[in-house]
Formats: sequence, C-alpha cells, structure tokens
Amino acid sequence: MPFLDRRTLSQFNWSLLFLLLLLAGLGILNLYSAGTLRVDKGVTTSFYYQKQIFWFAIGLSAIPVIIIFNYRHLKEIVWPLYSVTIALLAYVLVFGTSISGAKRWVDLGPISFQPTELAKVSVILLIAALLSRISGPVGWKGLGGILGIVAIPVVLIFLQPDLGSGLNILMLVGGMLLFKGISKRVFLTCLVGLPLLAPGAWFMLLDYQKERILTFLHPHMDPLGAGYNTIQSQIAVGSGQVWGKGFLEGTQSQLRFLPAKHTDFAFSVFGEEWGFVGCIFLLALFCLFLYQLVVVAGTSKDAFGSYIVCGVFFYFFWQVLINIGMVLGLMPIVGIPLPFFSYGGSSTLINCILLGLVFSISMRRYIFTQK
Amino acid sequence: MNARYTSSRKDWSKMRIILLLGALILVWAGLWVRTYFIQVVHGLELSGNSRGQYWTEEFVRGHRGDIYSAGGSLLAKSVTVDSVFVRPEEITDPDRVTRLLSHILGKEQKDLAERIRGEAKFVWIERKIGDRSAERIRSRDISGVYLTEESKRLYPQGHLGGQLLGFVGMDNYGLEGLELSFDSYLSGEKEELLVQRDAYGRVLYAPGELSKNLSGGDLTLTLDTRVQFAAEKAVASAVQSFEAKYGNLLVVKVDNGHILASAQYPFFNPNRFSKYSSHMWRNRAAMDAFEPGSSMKPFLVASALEKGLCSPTTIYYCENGKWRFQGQLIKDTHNYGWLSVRKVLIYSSNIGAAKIGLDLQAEPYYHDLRELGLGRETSLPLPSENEGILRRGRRWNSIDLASASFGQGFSLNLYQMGRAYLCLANKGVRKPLTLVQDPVRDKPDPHRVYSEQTAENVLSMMSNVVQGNGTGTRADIKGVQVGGKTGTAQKAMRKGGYGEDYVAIFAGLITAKDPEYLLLAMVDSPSKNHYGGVVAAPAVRKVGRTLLRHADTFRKWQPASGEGVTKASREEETAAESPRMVTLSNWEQRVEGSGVPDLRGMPLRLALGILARQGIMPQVRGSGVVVTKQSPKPGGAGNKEDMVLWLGGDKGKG
Repeated sequence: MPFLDRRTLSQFNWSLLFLLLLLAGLGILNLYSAGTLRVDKGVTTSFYYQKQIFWFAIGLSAIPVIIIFNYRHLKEIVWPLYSVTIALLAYVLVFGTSISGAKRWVDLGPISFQPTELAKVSVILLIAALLSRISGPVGWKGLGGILGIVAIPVVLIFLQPDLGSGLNILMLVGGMLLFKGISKRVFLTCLVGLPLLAPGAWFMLLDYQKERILTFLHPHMDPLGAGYNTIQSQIAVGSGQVWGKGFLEGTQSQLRFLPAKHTDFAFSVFGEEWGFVGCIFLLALFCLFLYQLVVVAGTSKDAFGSYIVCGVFFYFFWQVLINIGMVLGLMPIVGIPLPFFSYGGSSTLINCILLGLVFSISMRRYIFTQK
Repeated sequence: MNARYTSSRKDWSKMRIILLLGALILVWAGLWVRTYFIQVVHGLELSGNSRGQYWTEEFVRGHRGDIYSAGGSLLAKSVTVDSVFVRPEEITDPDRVTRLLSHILGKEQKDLAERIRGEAKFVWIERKIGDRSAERIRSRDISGVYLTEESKRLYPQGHLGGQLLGFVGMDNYGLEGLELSFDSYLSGEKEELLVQRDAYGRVLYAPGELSKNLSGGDLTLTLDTRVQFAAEKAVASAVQSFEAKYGNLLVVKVDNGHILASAQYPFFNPNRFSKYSSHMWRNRAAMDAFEPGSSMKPFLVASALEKGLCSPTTIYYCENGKWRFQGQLIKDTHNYGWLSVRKVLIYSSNIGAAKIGLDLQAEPYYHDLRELGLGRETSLPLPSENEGILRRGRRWNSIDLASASFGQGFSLNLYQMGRAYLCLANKGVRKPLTLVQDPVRDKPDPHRVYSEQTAENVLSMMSNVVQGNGTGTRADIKGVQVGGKTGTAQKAMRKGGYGEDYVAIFAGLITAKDPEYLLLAMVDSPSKNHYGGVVAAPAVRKVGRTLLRHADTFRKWQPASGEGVTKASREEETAAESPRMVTLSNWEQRVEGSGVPDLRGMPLRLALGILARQGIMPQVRGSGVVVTKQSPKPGGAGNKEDMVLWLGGDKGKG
C-alpha cells in the first residue's frame, strides 16, 4: 500500500475541509434548533443533534483512512463492489427490516445498514472507471451499457421503495455522462426523447408518489392533507422574512407545524430562523463547496479520479437542489435529504466517505502516473 | 491523434463543460430567486399566515371564588376536573376506542361510535368526568383520546340554599341566583391573552404569562347552615303534609337584618342543575310576587294607630261576618259583632280591617306601604327580583281601599314582606335585609316609619295572635312569647277574580315583645287545608325551636318551669335530623393540633370547612360525600398545602 509522501500531503485541500466543517457545524446547530419543541411551559430538545455529532465524528475519522489509501486501486474492485451492492439490495428487498413501509435496512445486530448508500458509492466508482476507459464522447453503445449497469441497482432501490435515492443515482450518472460528453446525436435524441418517456413513468409511480406530484402542482387542493407539508414549509421559510426570527426562535418549527423538520425539511427551520440573509449565505456556502469539487474534478490529471469527483459533485448538487427546491415549493416532495443538515447516520457517513475520496484525489491530482 | 483534432476536441470539451456549468448555475440561481420571492416579496404575507396559525386569543379566567355561610361552611367551590375529547383523525381503531370509552364512562356505544367516526376534528365525549374515570383513561393512553382540565363548581352542601346560590353553567358563567348576580366578582378577572397554539391545537403558555393573580373574590353570606337546614326541613314538611305546590321560609335576624335562612321546597341541588326544570331553580321568594292577604293587617293597624285614628281598644262593628259594601260582599271566617282593633287583628277580621282602612283613607295607607318598601326592589343582590304591584293610593276607590285593608289588590315578594315586618320588629325603624356579609355593601340610613309606641302596640297585639283563640296558636313555643300574624290569601287568577287556590302565610316574631328573629313562612296552593295558621305556622314553630336551641341568648328566655326546649327534647330532635346535619363539635377533637388532620370518614363539607380554616385548599378526587382517603396521612408532617382528598360512599347522593 503506497504511503503518503510529503508532496502529496502538502496538496491537502484545506478550503474543502473548512467548508465541510462549516456546513456540518451549521447543520448540527440547525438540528439542535429543529429538535426544540415548545411544551406546556418552556421547551424540550430532542437528541437528534447529538446522534448527528456522533455520526459526523465517525465520518470525519474515516476521511484520513481513505486519504492514505490510493484511490486508484479502487479501479480494480469496482465490479466486485458493484456485485456485492446488487446482492445486498436484493437481500434487503426480501429480508430487510422495514421502517414505515419501506424495506431499506440490513440489520447487523447493534447497527443497521442501508445498502442504498453503498450503491451510491459503488455506482459512482464503477461508472467513473467505465467512463475513464471510453475515449471520445459516449455513443449509443456506451450509453446503453452504462444505463443497463445503472438500471439494476436503481430499479432495486425504486422497489424498496425509495424514489429519492434512486433518482439521485440516476441523475448523478446523467451528470457524469454530460461531463464526460456524449455524442451530439445521442444528446439531441435524449433531449427530445426523455420528455416523451415521462407519461410512461407516471404509471410506474406508486399512489402516494403520484399524490405528491399532484399536490405539488396544486398544493391548496388539500391544504390540511397532502398539500400540508408544502404549504407549511413555505409558510415557515417565508415567515423568516429578510432577517429571520433568530436562532431557536422558529415558531413554526417549535409549535410542530413543520413536518419532518429534522430530516427532509431541515432547511425550512434554517430559513425560518435565519431569513433571506441566512438562506443566501447558506446557498453561497454550498456553492463554494460545490465549486471546490468542480476545481478538483477539473484539475485532476487522472480521468478516473476526475470522474469520481464529478460523480460526487452531482451527488451533492442534485441533493441540495432537489431538497431546497422541494422545501421552497419548486419541486414535488421527494425523500431527498439536505447534505449535512438532514439528520441521518448512513447519509452523514456516506457524505464523509465520498468527500474522503475527493480529498484523496485532490492530493494526488498532480502526481503523474501512467494510465 | 493529430494535433488539430485534439485541439478542436479540447475546445469543444471546454465549451461543453462551460455550458454545463452555466446550465447548473442557472438552475441554482432558481433557488436564490425562489427564496427572494418567498422571504422578501411574500415574506410579510406568509408571516401573517404563520402568526394566524399559532396565535390565538384566549380568555383566561381566574379561579372562581368560594361561597361561604356566615359560620364558614363551604357552600360553593370550584375544583379542577378532567374532560374527555377525541380527535377522530388520530384514532386508529375506532371500534376499540368506542368499546373502551363506553365501558369507562358508561355511555351508549351507538352514540359514541357515531361521534368518534364523525367528520369533526374535535369532539367532546364527556365534560367534567369523575377522577377515577379520568385516571383510567389517562393510564390507557389511547391515541386520539385526550383529557383536558376544566373547572367544575361543587356545592358540598347539596340542595342547601340551592335556589339562593343558583349555579354556574358548563362554561363557568353564573346562570342563576347569587352565582349570577355576583358573577363578575366571583369569577375574578378575565384576561384576554394572546396564547400560542401548536399544530395539534394544544395551548402553550409562555412562562410567567399567568403569574398575575386573576382569582375571584370569596363570598360570605349571612346564611347560617343550621338555621337554613332547619328551615328547609320545616318548609318541606309543610309542603308535603298539606300537598302544596311549593313553599318558602325566610329567617331574619332582627338586629342587623341578616337573612339567616331562605329555604324553598321542592329543593334544588345545583350540583345537578341540568336534571331540573327551570321552575325548580327559580328563587320564588324573590321572583314571585303574591297578594299578602291578612298578613298585611298589622301594617294597616300600625298606620291607623300612628295617625291617631284609633287606639287598640277602639271598637268596630264587624257585621256578624257578612258586609255588603258598595255592592261587594266582604266576609269573615267567623261571625263577629263588635271587635276592638286588637281583636280585629287577633281574629283577622276582614270587615273590621276594611272599616279601619276606610277611616284611615287611601293616601296615608299607601304612603306607609310605600315607606315599608312595597312596589320597590329590596336591594338584595338577587337576579330578576319581582318588585310586585302597588298602585298609587290616590287612584284607589273605596272598594280598592277596603280590599287593600285586608291585603288584596297589591302584591309583593317574600323578601319585601320580610323587609316590611323587619321594620315593625325593629320598633318602627326601617332597615334593609342583608344576604351577603362580605363584600360589604353600602347601606342606606335607617329611617323611622312608625313611632316606637305604635310598633310596640302592634307587636303586643301580634303576641295575642299566637295565644288563646288567636289564629296563629300553632306557632306557639311553650315558654317563649312568640308573636305572629297569619295570612290566608286567595290567589288571584290570571283571568281576574279569585279562585280556589290559597297562599298560606305566617309571619312569626321571637320574641313578640323584643323581637330577635323574624320568620316568614309561605306555602303556595296547599290542598289539604289553606289557613296560614294551620299550614304555615307549624313550620315557623319548628324553625323557632331550632333557633332557640342554638341561640346564645336563649338562656335569658329559659323558663323556670323547665318546660319548652329541654335538653331531652333537644337531643331527640338532633337524633331525628338527617345524618347530613352533623355539627362540627363531633369532629373537632380529631383535628386539633398543628399536624395533618384526620379527615377520613368525614363528610366532605366538614373536611373542606376544616381545611379552609387552616388556609388549605385540598384537591378533591372522585365523587361522593365522604372522605375515604387522604394524602398526606393524618398526624404526619407532610405538606398540607398539597392535600388531596379522595371521596367515596353515598355515590350520587351528594
């Protein structure tokens, strides 16, 4: 195993680490506020933020381990990793532990594990490896192969059902393809053809998923039922106005009007308490964070590394865009978390692991190695 | 790869990346634009929506004050109890919840099921339930079923003074009686608070918001529970034995005008006001006016004496019982010839009274009746007082005057009659009746209506009414000189004229010479007998005996012969009374000392009374009239401030 030399170490991406810590810090602070509920006299705080700190600490300590390891060796295990992922996804569907109607968890005694998260890593790695082997724009053949490879885990994830994660994987692969470049014919055909496929997709959705899309289009059709989340989330964010209500002052959050406020709707809590100013700042912060990823992807001399970072970039980009879009009522409600803000052990850990890869790639981007 | 191809590919690749980034930035910018629209453009409006959701105005009312008798017995008290409601949406298994609630609350399943499955978001199941049921519901923790605290008014003495006290409705507003007239005083301050309500509709108070004391004041009446109890018993017996419609009995202490008892039968228990029809809870002593009949004759005689038109010995010819005056036949119950004024009163001769009245003239008689307070409210703090009808004297023709002389043609309520007699008993000086000791009300200056001489003359005639062959001998208490006047008034019919119904009245004075107590009994429509001296007088006698038994001043009337109220008869009567009439002395030994008193086995009203005197307001759990369990335990050094009493026994009889 190749150890870090001084030169590699000197290339450590401090800005990315700073942004990561800043975002995670804000996320935990926000989670503390989101867990605060007003009761008869005074308030209570739930322990979500503490658990989040715990998981983030584990994730953070995983980063050096990943950095030491040269990511290039991953190229050799992408297929086995992919196979294991498929096996686990299939296993969950049959034997998984079901939480609120969805089978997503592999029970490993004291801890449970979501193969979906593993799927995100293995798909990014596999597609990055494949793309790095293709020279020139991706044609029909390449596209077909890649879609076929991606389709298996995505369909398995859809079946859990977990629409959000499946879409996230599909979209990040799409982003990677656009980054790699696809031939003009393929691109134009897709541009025209994909919208035509949309009606077909509609019939594959489950009832509750269809309902979410309908209520997105007409939230006031059923303001206390299906449209409740969208309306309440916008009221919360909007009532923050320009300067926000202040930390721990979010009434919509503390008076239980906000749904799922420590998970999917964490941004509503942030928007309510910090206002337009806070939202602009947070969006800018995410922008800088994503920009760092773009820089790493653009400057990496190694195609495999570059594509991995590209995958990670889209992984985060879509999540932030869809989650905040959903909170702001721009998109239908899909279970996609906001990185570093939504509570979740598995996703926090996977975020750190993916960033660990980015650090590793970033440090080795100037080391010329033969392909 | 040739160089040109590579460079053009590189350019294209660069272009593509830039285009891709541009597209991403454009999409991203959508988020910024959207936050701008939501937070800046629509911020104010959404902020309003937000506040509209959680701010809600709520009236917060202070704890309702207690009502006490003169001796400190608790007559009315508010306690906190639980009410059950459901949010049907949150109920997962309606069948189970229906069965459970039906079992715990003893309600019909069908009705419950309908409400639980209804469309409403909030449904009351039962308000103000017993503590045991509440505990059973609380321990089950059924989703969608909630308990909320409400205030319930308890009347620990049951029907005692029921019509006088009135009651409060479900929402704690006084609806009748003193509860109504002192509603704003008792209910204390009402504050409009802006409170926060969470998404489930629970009201949340910010700390310190309720620190202000909003509690209402306590009311102390002049009622003496022992006298009230005796009066209720006596009037009940009168109404029952003579099969009357209803009856009232009023006891007034002469020296200060305090109403010691105001009883009415049929009884009304305000704890269960909804089980009664509205005519049962009317306080008829204030709300109904009646023609007083012969019971007004002492005032006629007093006015005549005052004017010097006659003396007690002046004689009038009573026409042998039948006198046609201007076409109207006036009758006496017995046939009398010549009667002195004194005898006119003793035998209650209508003809004699009419002749005295005709001598007196309308105007002076009217003037005195007016002075006594007829046709004017009594200023007692009671709602809907009926002030009666008294036409102006100068409109009376001589037949009107003749009828008015024996108490027909005008009406008054029982309190007005009490006030009139109080003036006489008070040796001619008018003073108001008092029902409430605390808070004190301004009293008008006393005013003399009759000279002391006149009053004493009339009082002495009234003492003769109860003696020998007077009409009120059944009010006599041996060894005590009782004064009185009977009244047997025909009830005017709605269509005019007089029917077969009578009002039997007896006004009693103890003692006649130097009145300490004034007692008025009035029995409406007795069917077995209708004479005031037969129907109403015994009730006055019974209450009079109780009064004398308890009066400190009794010793000075104690006759040497040993007759009258002996110790033996006193014990006998006490034993005959209901066990509810427990005197405090039996228990007092047990509550001596500074430790926690032993209240077990004690009737609730006594326990509450004892604690109230120590400044402790216990929490009362369960229903019943007897304390079965207490916390902290007796004798211990536990914190008495957190006293909890559990009730049991005699369930439903309280």
